[in-house]
Amino acid sequence: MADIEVEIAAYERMQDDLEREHMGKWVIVHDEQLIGAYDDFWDASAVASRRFGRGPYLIREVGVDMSSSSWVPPQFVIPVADG
Amino acid sequence: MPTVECGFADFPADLVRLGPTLQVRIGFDHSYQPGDPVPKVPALRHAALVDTGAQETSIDADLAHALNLPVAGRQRVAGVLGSREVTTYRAQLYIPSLHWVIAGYFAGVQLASESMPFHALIGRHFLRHARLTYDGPTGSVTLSID
Repeated sequence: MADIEVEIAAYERMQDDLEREHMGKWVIVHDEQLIGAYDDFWDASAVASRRFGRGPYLIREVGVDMSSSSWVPPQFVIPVADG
Repeated sequence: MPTVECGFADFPADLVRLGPTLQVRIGFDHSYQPGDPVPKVPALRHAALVDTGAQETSIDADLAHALNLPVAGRQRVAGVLGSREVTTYRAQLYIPSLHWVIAGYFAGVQLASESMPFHALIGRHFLRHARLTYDGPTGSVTLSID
């Protein structure tokens, strides 16, 4: 099973608890463990990147069903900062 | 307000055949955050179709696999051939001509072929920031973004 599938399976096992305690938050799952819950996708991304680099890890919005045909992937349109 | 030509000025037949096109760089920079300079993605540019028929931006599945983009899960996508399940990837698309980035989760869909030489479809979620002027008789399509 691909690494990310392991994390997805772990997320699904935790799903009831996550929805009870962290509904609407963005959570990180790594090594089948919940790492943390964050208000914002980018907060979760920053933590996951700092701790785990490219991954594998899972970042999910709790309570949102990715398998639903109405699910829309989160996409952010960002002007590049001149640096 | 940057404005780019994404059509085929003076070649309207090419616009009919190919559609409006932007060059994009695709990859995954795990440390990228809004407000950063250009994400560290490969320099190679890919053709992306400006697709007003698509809600979200998507990436060619074979390219996503070749770039080793991280998998984020599976999702259902709807198209003219019906609904199907595809792999979702994390990525950034950098549009050099506009100096903008599309970042987040992208459906991996089968795109690149002889008749459809694109590696990405840019959808309306990005286009809501833009003004698109399509001049069929001349083949010119301009896109400007605030």
